[in-house]
Amino acid sequence: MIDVRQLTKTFRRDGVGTTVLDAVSLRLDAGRIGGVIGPSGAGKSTLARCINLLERPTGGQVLVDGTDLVALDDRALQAARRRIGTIFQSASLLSSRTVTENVALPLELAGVPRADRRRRVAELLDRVGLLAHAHAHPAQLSGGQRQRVGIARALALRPAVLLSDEATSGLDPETTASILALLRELRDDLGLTILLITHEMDVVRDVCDEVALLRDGRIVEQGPITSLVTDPDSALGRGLVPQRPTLAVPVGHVAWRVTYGAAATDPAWLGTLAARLGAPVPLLGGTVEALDGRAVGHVTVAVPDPAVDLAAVLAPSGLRAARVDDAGPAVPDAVADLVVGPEAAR
Amino acid sequence: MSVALAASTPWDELWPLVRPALGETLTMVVVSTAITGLLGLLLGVALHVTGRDGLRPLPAVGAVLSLVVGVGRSVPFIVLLAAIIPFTRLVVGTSLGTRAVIVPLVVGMTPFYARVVEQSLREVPRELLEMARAIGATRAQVVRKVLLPEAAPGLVGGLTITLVAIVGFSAMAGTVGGGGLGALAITYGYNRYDGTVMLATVVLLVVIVQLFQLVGDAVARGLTHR
Repeated sequence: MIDVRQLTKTFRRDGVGTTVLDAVSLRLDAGRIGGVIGPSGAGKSTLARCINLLERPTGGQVLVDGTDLVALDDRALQAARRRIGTIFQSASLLSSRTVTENVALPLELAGVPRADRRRRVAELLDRVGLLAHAHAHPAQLSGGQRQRVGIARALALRPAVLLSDEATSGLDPETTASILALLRELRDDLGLTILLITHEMDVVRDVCDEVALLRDGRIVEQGPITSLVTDPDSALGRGLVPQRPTLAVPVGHVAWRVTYGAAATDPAWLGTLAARLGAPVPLLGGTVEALDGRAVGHVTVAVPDPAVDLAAVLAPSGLRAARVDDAGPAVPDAVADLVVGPEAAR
Repeated sequence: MSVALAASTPWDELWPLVRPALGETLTMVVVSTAITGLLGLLLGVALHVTGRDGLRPLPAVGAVLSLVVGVGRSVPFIVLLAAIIPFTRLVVGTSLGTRAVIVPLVVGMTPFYARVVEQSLREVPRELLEMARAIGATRAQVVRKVLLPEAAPGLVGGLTITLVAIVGFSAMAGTVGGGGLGALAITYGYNRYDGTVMLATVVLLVVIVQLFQLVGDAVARGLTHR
């Protein structure tokens, strides 16, 4: 379990303080996968560095299974850091060491005897599917394989929390998917708590149970994915199920945006609606997908009768509807950045 | 040319003349390089660690070290050779001979190699140091397990450059009583117009440098896994 409370970080330069993190609070129960998403410059990497205490926070607490890391002195911190395994953006492997030796590094530093080290490394490499490459050097591996080595190394000391700082940035979509699948598997098997710092909305959607939106050093929105995507007022929810351009509204029709919400939605609602109105209901666009086995997303439909109050009609079937003005609901900037133009991987 | 070659040593007398000089040069070069490598490594690590972005920034210590290295590198070797004679006497008990030359060679080249070491260490990606800190490494462990192994190819390459420079300076030192191939070339080849000896020393020096360069390159290549 990780509990970040009121974390603040101010950088002081020439007497001028810049607050990069402003009272950030996050809580992730054991076995949950959480994401922190935000545009570049929001303070994501500072947050990651404050959580694993590479950077001393100016204020606040970082509690891992009840121990406040911020309160520890340097010596105690060194041991406590082992409770958090970090996966780095570019894997950060030592080029002078083989895969085996890289994974063994944290064990070596912790003074684990050689025989135990060898056994543990073999176990870890098996876990991440790299036993065949045990004696390769990082330069001989693909980006995805390198990141698997990074994950094995992060797991070496059996941490309670896995912190991933942009671990999938720069990987192609297929490799990203395989890395995320591995993380999910680790969570399921080891009960790890995983915190992903990322700028990729797809990563959040694919693997996270909960997400927080960081903007200008503050958490502006957070919650479980399933409730965010069913909330038409949530900027994060709209970012998770992005609004795509829709077709033009036919003459004499009124556009309505229908958001999936309740646990049980009749998948045939559109046909039912057309039958009830006695006229076809053109579908103008939308995104609907399954998340945790339930339908989430939104569609825009054209209702042939301006007098119909679609919100009232659809409420019993667990759908929410709102009339779309010509302009349509604007997507807030921070989310638009994430969805439309993800920052180039460094 | 024919005048210059007139007093040539016959080929069969050449080897007895050259062999001791070759031995002296190799002794000077190998011993000086070994000591310079060790001291330069320590000094270079200290420079890096105490530097502005180092593991343990200590601006005052860093500035002093930097100054020492800077001064060491600004004094021309021939001046240094003469200037530190009292120190040389103190260390090896004499200011003449092969052993005495090793002292100025080490003093002159250590600052140079220290800078090379510092430069190589600076090229180790920062995120690797951060990674090591994040997985619980102490500063000493970061130096031992990350900095030095990752910089190893550069350290070896730099040591080869240092060695070649020491070959050159050892020849210079030879002329002021250090012995070796440099002294031989000057006393026989230059002062007595002995073209054969001159040619032999030049060829030997070229061969020595090439051999050490080959070995250095091979070791550096063996340590590189990029």
